Amino acid sequence: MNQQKQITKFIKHIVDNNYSAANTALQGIVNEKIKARIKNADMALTNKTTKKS
Amino acid sequence: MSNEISTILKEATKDILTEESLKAITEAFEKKVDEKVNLAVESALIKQDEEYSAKLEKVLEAIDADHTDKLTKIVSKIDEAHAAKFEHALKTIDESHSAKLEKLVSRYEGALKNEADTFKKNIVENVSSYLELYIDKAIPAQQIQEATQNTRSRKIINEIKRLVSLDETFVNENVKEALMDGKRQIDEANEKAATAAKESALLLEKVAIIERDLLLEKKIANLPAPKKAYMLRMLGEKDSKFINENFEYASDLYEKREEENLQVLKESTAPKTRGIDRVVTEDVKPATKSFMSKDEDSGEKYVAESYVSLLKNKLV
Repeated sequence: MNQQKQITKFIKHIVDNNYSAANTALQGIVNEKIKARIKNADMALTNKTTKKS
Repeated sequence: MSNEISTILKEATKDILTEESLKAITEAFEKKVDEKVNLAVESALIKQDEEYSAKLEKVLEAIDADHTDKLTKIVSKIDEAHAAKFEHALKTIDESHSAKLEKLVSRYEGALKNEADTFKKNIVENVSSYLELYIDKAIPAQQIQEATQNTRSRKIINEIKRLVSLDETFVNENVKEALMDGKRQIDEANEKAATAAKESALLLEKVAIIERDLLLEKKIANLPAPKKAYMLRMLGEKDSKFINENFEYASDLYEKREEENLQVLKESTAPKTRGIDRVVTEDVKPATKSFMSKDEDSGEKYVAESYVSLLKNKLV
């Protein structure tokens, strides 16, 4: 799911005072962001290895 | 009238009655007549009143009815006119207000939608940026990089294990020794390589020295002894490249200095030989020899200094 949509959902849950759902949505967003960072680091490592080889 | 009655009575009675009686009768008669008249008048008045009252009531009723009708008609007409006008006004106001309200609603809906969209976009971006910053602070990029590298290394090792078909226990117990041995061999090989490189460098240095000596020997083989010594002093410690580049220059310099020294010697001997025919060349040779000899090195020093200064200038 698009991250913007996830954030919108998270805000909507907060507005609706549904903090449990907001917490779940926030965890999802943070997981996505960390996954993206790990992916970027992996790509950088792959590029580095390719250049070296 | 009373006079008429008294006259009638006087004539009727023929003076039977006295004046007083007549007067009394007249008064009584008049009184009675008055009473009767009064009664009749009252009766007539009452009757008239009643009649007039009845008529007046009828008239009033008729007027009332007429007025009521007229008023009703007027009111109904006014009502109709006002109702029509009111209806028209209401219709106009309704239409105008509806149009205005529609415009207002559409405008506010548009504004609300646009503003809401902008606000939503901004808030989403802000929340995203905040989360990025928080993650940056909580989990540094270096940590992620290290974790990624670890995971990748683990994957590679697992893959190698799978390919080599070695399990962890086997690696720990049996391959450890081989790995240690391999490491020791690598270390020894590295040490040997370093020693060999050092030796090679020394040998190369020696070869360079030998090459230089050979080159210099070859170049100065046919030179006279003083020049040979001079060239050895000048180029003895230099490398082959330097000798190749500067040998001719040093040689020329030596020749030039030699000529200058000869000239100086000639000039110094000129006053002594004035007016005497003498062969100059005979004296020059020993002088040159003594100038270039190792014992008297003032000329050599001069040449060396000039050469060094020229070299410096050239290098600079």
